[in-house]
Amino acid sequence: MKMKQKNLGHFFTVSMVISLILLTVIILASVFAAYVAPYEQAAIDMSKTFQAPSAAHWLGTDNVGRDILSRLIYGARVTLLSALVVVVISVIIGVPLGLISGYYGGKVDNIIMRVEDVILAFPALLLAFLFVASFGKSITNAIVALGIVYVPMISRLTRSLTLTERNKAYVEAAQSIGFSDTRILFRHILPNCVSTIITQMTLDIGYAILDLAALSFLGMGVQPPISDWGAMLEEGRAFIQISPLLCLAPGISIIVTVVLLNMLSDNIQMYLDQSQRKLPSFKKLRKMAGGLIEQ
Amino acid sequence: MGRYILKRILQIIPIFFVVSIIIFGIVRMSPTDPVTVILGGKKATEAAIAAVKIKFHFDQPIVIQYLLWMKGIFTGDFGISYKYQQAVSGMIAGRLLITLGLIAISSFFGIVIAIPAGVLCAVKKNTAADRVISVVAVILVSCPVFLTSILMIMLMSHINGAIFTGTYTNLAEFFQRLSVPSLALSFSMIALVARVSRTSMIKELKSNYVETARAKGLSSQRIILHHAFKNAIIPVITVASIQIGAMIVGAVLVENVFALPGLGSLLISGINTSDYPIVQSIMLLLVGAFLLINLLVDILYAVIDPRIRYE
Repeated sequence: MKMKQKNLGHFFTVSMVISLILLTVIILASVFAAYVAPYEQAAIDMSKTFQAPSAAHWLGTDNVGRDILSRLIYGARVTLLSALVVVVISVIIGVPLGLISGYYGGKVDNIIMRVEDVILAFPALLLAFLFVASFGKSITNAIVALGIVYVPMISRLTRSLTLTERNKAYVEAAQSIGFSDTRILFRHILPNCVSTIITQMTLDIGYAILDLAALSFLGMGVQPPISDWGAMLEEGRAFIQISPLLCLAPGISIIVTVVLLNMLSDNIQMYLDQSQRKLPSFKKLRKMAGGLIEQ
Repeated sequence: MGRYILKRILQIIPIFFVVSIIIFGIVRMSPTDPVTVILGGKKATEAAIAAVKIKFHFDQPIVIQYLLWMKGIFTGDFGISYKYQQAVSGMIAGRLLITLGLIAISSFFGIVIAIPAGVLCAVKKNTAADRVISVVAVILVSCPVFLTSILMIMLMSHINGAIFTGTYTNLAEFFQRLSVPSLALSFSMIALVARVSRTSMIKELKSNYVETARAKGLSSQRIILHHAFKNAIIPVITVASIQIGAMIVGAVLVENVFALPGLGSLLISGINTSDYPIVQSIMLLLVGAFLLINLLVDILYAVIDPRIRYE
């Protein structure tokens, strides 16, 4: 019990708490957009175009009088959900591939690695361009393409984790009991890798947000009337001289979200990597030692 | 050394061909019929359609079409654009220099600004200068390149004489058009390279040989530049070259925002108009460049660190 308390103390560092709280706020706002957003995202009001920030419109209005804050909140929904789906696709394909190639090695490993070499030969966004160019411009195509592009990253990570786990005693024990390989891989090895994979996932969501925004910005991601932050940037670009907020609002949202995700990922990694953990403060140490130091 | 280089080249050749098959295959899987794109969607006579089919080799089986394209790639004939009805190789040649210039100038900025900044941070560790540079670096890393480009345009529009469009007849014009877009493109590289040079330099400054050099009474300038820096540079080269590779995609975005007549803007317009000869050729060219950069990095590595050659 005491052990657990100590771990919790390390886990919640200041930057961890800040990033967790802000990310939760962003996620909740996007999930409950219908209740949080002050206006409908498509509510056009031509009598109120390009308004400066005011009490009624906190971030002002755009070229057809839509409330920027409301569009931002609804946009967050599309942006975050698409990024999450990209990462989930890459995990669903990548993790089993990594487990198999790490556990069995040999020919299977070789084939999987060579196929991934080919995917890695493409800069991430280029493969997405190719998919969208051929199968049509839609957010689904963009998500599927990015999901595939992200597979090698997560798969190679899982593979290297599996390689170290494979030779441990508990795997040998499971093998000698006669458990099936599937059971050993998913019930025994995977749980030991899962924390590192989650760290990578948080980081990947950040990358996915940036890549999806780039696609939407080029008009290859979400199609009107739906819009995400990238599409808002593209729309706002034409009016940048009249109202810079049209670009700044989605732009800053992207930066803040990605910085928060990076912070979160860094902190989880630091927590998992024992060598980087900070020692508890002297006060805490004294408490843990139960007054032993005083004597 | 020669054997190592040969081995790496032999590894890359099959990847290049598989990539070309994937690009060709995905482009051909498109539901859009090329004939309608070529004829501009207009009604055409049977004879006109047949003529187009022969001109663009649609009458041949797909494998032959691929082989013709591949043969063209190596002989400088990238096919004919559906929309413009002119040779793709000529269109690419006219734009190649701008994309190359953009990436070259950005890499120059990235290295010249980032490495000194990183080293400065490491030497002045935990001072105000270090903190400011580190925070700026974190923000720059998370800032999408198209956003920095937009912000740069916004800033530059208030400065007289800053023009990104126009002719590229001489070198001065070339630099005038490309310097600001290049700076926008280089930001993420600056941020990452600075961060890595800082970490790497801090690690080296702590090491035993630096201590020995100090004990010998060498000046701290000599220790930093001649001893620690030489060892700290290896991870920096990795990150810098990965970033130069990433700039290939970044250049597409920057060209689009600044309306530069480079390969990237041609690629995007090709995608928008279903002009597949343009799309597949530029795509293969960019992936080829990406592979080549990776190859050069591996070779550079082997030169710097002989241990890698014997793995």
